[in-house]
Amino acid sequence: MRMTRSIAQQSFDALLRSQIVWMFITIFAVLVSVSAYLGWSATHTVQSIYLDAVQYFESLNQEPPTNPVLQTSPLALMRNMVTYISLIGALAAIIVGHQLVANDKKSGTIPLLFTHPISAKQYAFGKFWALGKMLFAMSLIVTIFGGVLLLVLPAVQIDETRWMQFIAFVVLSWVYMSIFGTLALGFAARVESQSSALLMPILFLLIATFILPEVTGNIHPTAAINPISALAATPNSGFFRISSSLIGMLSLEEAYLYQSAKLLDFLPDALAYRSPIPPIFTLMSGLAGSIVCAYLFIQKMLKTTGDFNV
Amino acid sequence: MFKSTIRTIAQKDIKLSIRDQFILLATGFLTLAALISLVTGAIALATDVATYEHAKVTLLALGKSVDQLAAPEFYPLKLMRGAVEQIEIMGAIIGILIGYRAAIGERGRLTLALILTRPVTRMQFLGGKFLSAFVLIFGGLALVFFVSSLMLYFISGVGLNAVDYVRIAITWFCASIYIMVFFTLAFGLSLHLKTPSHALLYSFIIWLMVVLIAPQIGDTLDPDNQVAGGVFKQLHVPKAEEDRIKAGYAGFESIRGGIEAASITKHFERFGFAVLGIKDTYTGVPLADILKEKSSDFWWIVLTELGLAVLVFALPISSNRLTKE
Repeated sequence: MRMTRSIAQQSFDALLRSQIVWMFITIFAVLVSVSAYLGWSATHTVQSIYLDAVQYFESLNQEPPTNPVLQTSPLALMRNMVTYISLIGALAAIIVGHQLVANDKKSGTIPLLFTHPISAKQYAFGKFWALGKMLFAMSLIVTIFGGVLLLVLPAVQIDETRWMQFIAFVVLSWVYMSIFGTLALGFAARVESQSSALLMPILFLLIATFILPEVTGNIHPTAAINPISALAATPNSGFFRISSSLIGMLSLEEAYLYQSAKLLDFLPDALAYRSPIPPIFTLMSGLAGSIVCAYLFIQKMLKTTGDFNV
Repeated sequence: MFKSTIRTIAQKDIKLSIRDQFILLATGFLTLAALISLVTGAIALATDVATYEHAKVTLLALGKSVDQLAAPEFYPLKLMRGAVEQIEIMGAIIGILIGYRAAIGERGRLTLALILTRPVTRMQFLGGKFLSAFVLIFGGLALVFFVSSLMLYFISGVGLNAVDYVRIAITWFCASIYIMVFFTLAFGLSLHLKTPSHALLYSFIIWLMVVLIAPQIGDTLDPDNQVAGGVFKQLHVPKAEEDRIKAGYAGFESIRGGIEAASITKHFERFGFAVLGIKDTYTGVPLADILKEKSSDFWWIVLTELGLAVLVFALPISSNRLTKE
C-alpha cells in the first residue's frame, strides 16, 4: 500500500510538472467556462426575443405565448458542458493517462523501478490512483464553473434536489473521462510506438463519438456534438431497433449523453434510451473493462527496456 | 535533376506508407465510416418513405385528401451528407497523421540529417514531402468517393447522371485540399518543434477547435437551436415579425457568423453541401450558380492551404531539429 501510494504521489507530481498536461487542462477549463457563458448567452437571447415577441402580441391585443425559457430547467443551461467534457475532457484524460506511463518510459525509469520490490499490481494501482486524482481535479473545475453560473444568474433558483443532480453529473463526467484515461494508460504501457499508443485511445474516442451513434440512431457526426440534436428518437425501422439493441450497450458517448441529459433536465419528454441496458450500467462496465484492460497491459509491459521504439 | 529529386523523395514516402499499410488502414477506415453513413442514411430514408406510404393509404381509406402530406423527396446525392461530415472530421485527422508521419519518420530514423548532407535543397525535400502527401490524400479520397458513389448507385437503384459525377468530383477536389491543410499544419509543427509528439498534440488541439468547437459554438449561439422546433415557431411569430426581430440582433448574428467563418471546416461543409445539393436551398439548383455563390468558401480553403504551405517552405530547418528529441 505504501509503495502504491508513493508511485501515485510521484506520478501526480510529475503530471503537475508537465507543460502539456497543464495546457490541456487550461484548454478544458477555458471551454468549460465558455460553455457556461454559452448557456447564459443562449438563454438571455431567447429571453430577449420573447420580450420582443410579447410587445408584438400586445400591440395586436393578443395573448402572448408562454416564455420558452421558463419551460426549461435552470440545470439545462449547462448542456454544452456535456459536449465539451465528452470531447476535450476525454482527450485531456487520454493525454494524462498516456503521460503517466510515457514519462516513465521516456525517462528510462521503468527498468530501474522494477529492480526494486515493486509488483506490476502496485505500479498499476499507483497509476490508477494518480489518474483518478487528476481527473477529480478536472471535475472540480466543472463544479466550480457550473456552480458559479447557477449562483450568479438572478432568475435561476436551484433547490437541493437540483444541486444533487448537478453533483451527480460531475461524478458521471469523472467516470466518463476515467474510461478513456485508463485506456490511454494501458496502451502507453503495452504499445511499443509512442504515437500509436496515443492514437489508439483517440481512435476509440472517435468511434464512440462519431460512428456508433450513426449506427444506432442515424445521428450524423456533426449532430453528435450538439447536445440537443444528438437526443433524437431512433428511426422507426427494424435495422435501427436491432442495431440499437445490440450495439447501443457499447455506445459509451450515447450513454453519457443520455444520463447527463437526464441529470441536467434537458432530456426530451418520453425519449427512451436506445439500448435495453441502462446507460449507467454501460458506463460502469466501460470503466471496469478499461481498468481490467490497463491492468493486464501493465502486467505484460516489458519491464527491462525503457523508451518507446519510435 | 530538381524534379527527379522531388519525385524520388515522394516515391520513397508513398512506398513506405503503402508498405507499412498505414495509408491502406486510414483509407479503409474512412471508407468504412463513409459507407456506414450512406447505408444508415438510406435506411432512415426508406423508413420515411414507408411511413409516408402508410399515412397515404390510411388517409385515402378514410376518404381524405393527401395534399397536406409532405412526401419525402429523394435526391441520391443527399445521402452523402454523413459521408461528407465523416471526411470533415476523420479526414482531417488522417491529414494530421500523414503530416506527422512525414516529419517524424525522418527525424526518428535520423534520415533527415542524412538527406540534408546530400545535394538536396530544402525546397526539394519539402517539395517531395508535399508531392507524396498530395498523391496519398487525393488518391485515398478518390477511392473513398468512388466506393461511396458505387454504393450510392446500388442503394438508390437510381443511376447518377454526368452532372452528379461532376458534383462529386468537385467535392472530392475540395475535400482533398481541405485535408491538405491539416497535413501541412501537422507536418510543419512536427518538423520544427523540439518534441514531435507535442506537435501531434498541438495538431489535435487545433483540430478540436477548428473542426468541432468553433462550428459547435456557432450552432449553439443560434437562438433557434435553443428551443425544440425553433424559438420563432414555438412563439407562433409571423415571418415578417421574425425578420424584424432578427434585424435587432444583427450584431449578435455577426459574432456568431464570425465564429463559424473562422472554421475552415464550416467553409468546406457549406461548399460540399451546396455542390452536392444536400442543403435544401441548393437542391436542384444549377451547378454553375452554386459554384459562383460558393466560390468564397472554396477560395478560403485554398488560400489557407497556400498560406500554411508558404510558411512551411519559408521556415528554415533548424540543425537542432534533425533528430526526434
